[in-house]
Amino acid sequence: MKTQFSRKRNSLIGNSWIGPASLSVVGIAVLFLILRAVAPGALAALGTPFWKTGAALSANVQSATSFFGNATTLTKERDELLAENTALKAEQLALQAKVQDLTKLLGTRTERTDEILAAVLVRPPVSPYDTFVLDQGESAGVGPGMRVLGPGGVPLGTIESVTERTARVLLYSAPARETTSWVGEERLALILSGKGSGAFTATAARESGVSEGDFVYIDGSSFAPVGVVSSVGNDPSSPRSAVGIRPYLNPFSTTWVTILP
Amino acid sequence: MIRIVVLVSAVLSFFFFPYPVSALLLLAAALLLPFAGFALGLFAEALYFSPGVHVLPLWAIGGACATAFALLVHRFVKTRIIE
Repeated sequence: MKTQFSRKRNSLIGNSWIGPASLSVVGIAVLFLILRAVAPGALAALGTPFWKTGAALSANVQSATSFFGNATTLTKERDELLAENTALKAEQLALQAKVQDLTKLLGTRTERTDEILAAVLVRPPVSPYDTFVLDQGESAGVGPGMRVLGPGGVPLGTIESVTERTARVLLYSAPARETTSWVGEERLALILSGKGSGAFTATAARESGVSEGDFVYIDGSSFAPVGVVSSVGNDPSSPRSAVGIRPYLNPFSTTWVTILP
Repeated sequence: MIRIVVLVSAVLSFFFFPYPVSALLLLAAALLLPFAGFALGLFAEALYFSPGVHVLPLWAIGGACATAFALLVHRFVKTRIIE
């Protein structure tokens, strides 16, 4: 007797993948892509409320989780931070006085530039490709190629593209992005290669003297380091050492940035 | 219904969740509705891609791969059910 097999389709994996639902989904996605190409500002305007909601939600989650922290530990941490703050204030005053003295003595060749303050709408790891989306665009004077600094003047990246009210920043640590830099007190030149998520790698001669804890700087008006050497390879068979660099500023927690021409 | 829920979650994840979560949801959406994988990849590129950020549009390529994988899975599962 011929066996009859059921041809009833599974409700989850039926044939509907080729139906109007699929076509609609692909159609909408293509529409977004065309919209991005023709009017990039419109798509950014559509996405901005969602990005802002996401940023607010993540901030709320962070404050909610801190509620469950150990009170004693938090108090101790607060006291330590207050003491550190006082010490830093005193140090800053001394440095300011020193800068004023030196400026009087030597004069200054640097002119004050117009800085643009911008909030970070999206940052890694939500945004792929190691990019930031900022809430300032052409209307605020932002243009491609401008430098982006984090708190304390830490260099983060450059403006990659701009719309009327938003801007995309490509971080120096974006995968495969190469940046000229120098490291340590000897100011040894290095080519930084981005690894993503704020980290870098580089190679240096084994006898160059690069050691863990050295600060890494890049060109620009800011003198803040971009990273700190976290590891130095020691392969006896190679004349060069692989240098691992961790970010000086965590891009995952950056909320405000400054944009410089 | 579950297709719509996963699809909407995948779209919203591009705004709210880390991209590995978005990638997982993209794969889940592709398994339920294969062409959604490619569509979500295009959507991610529309949101985040700029010519200077990478040589290749990785999300569109990844979405296309997820769609191809899901289509293979569908063909395989369907064949097994009929036999």
